[in-house]
Amino acid sequence: MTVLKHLARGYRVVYAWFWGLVALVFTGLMVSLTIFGPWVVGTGESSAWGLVAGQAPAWFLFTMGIMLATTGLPVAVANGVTRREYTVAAGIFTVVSSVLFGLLILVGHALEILVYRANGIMAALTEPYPAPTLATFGRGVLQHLAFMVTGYLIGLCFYRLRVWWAIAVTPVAMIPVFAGNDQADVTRFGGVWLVLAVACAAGVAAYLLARSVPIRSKKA
Amino acid sequence: MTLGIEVSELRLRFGEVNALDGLSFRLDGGKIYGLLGRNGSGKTTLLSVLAAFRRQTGGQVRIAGAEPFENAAVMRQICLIRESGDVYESDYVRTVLRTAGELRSTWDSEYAQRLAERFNLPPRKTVQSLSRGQKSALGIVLGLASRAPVTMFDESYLGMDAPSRYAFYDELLADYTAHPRTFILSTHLIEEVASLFEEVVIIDRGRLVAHEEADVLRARGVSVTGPVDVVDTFAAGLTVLGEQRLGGTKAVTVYGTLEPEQVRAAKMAGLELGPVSLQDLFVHLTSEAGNR
Repeated sequence: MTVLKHLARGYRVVYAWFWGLVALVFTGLMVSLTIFGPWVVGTGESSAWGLVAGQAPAWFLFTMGIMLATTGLPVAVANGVTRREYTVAAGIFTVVSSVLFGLLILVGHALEILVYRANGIMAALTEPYPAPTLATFGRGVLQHLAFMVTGYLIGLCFYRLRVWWAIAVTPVAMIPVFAGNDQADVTRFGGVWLVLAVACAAGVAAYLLARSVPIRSKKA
Repeated sequence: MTLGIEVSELRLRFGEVNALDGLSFRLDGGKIYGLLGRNGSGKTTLLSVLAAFRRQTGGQVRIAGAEPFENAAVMRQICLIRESGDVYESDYVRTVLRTAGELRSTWDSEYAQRLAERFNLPPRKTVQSLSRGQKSALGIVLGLASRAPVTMFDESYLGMDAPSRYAFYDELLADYTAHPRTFILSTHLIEEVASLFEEVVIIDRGRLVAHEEADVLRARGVSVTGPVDVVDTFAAGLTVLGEQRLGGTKAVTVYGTLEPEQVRAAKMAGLELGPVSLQDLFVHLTSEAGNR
């Protein structure tokens, strides 16, 4: 719990900055929609929120995963935390972050629906609006989970292995990202399990890399 | 709390290089130990293994009777401060101290605050914007305020200026007296720190060269001062580590303990005998000839 609290306290500011920025862009778009009509929602798109919060949160969590591995792990071990304790805490933190981001995406959709309805945009959409359902939430959580675990794994690859080895294994390590992007449709049973399986495999691979990783001096 | 450290046949290889090559010694704990060695002798590697920063490839390490690597109970009682620092470079000083407080159960926040003020550490500056001396001071604060039963400083105060280093030595002694624990100081500033050491461990090429109480080690040599010709006559046949000459007076550093009759002869000849510096002994013990 100590390490988890430390991670939560350390990353809450970064998360707040990210969502603050997303909220700012989203607010600008909603104000623009209210004033000028649905110009921003182009052909084949029905949700401005989908544009703002579609890929960005997932890739943001990917970079957070890299940071967890490359800066968080050495500092934790230097403060007397075992690699195992840190990996468990980082795993729980990854799940919590994924769920939190999934919830925030749902909230964004809910707010957008309110704005659309208030301005009569919903009826003018040419594409059906992606309803904020449990499936949307689940898809978001799985996608975020896959991205963050992948970031953690790739961060560890570069921290532990020689750079050319790390580059060589990156395409394999990226599999959860590919799966999370294309297969995380919770309405398809196989998709859920596929994403979960590759995310878990990435998590196990990360633990195997982390469990005996030397904490090198920065000058080395 | 004092924790003993036992190292047995410790080995660590980096490719073809034996960084640690069958190193064995035992520290009872509750003392200030000096860890001396030339560049590349294996000091940092040894400390990294003791702190569970890396795992050995052979042999055993026991701290309080247990292997430290991935041992939560042992690791949280060890603190290693390296010159490079193990902190987020983009963090503020206050964040670095808060992180240590969150992760270390033995952390003393008030003491950390006091030390930060003493070493003029600006809490609102990021680590990367600190000068080398300030980064070293941050390491000192992290090490001392950790109050870890085994605290090790690996050349971590080299970047500090002389007044700051002396302030560190004062703080170390005061805190060691108030909260006895095991300190291991690795340093090249031997003469400056020598008075702090209760025991000295000297390693070279990953092997143990000497492990003795500091006073016993110092007694392994003697300085002989007097007229040039008398000193030369007396020193003939002895192992001379170094010599200095000023006009008709000469001082030589001799390795080895003098027999009572040699001491009597020296005094009869009007020669002055004195203690030898730890640094001279270290240079001799780790030189090519000294290792044979």
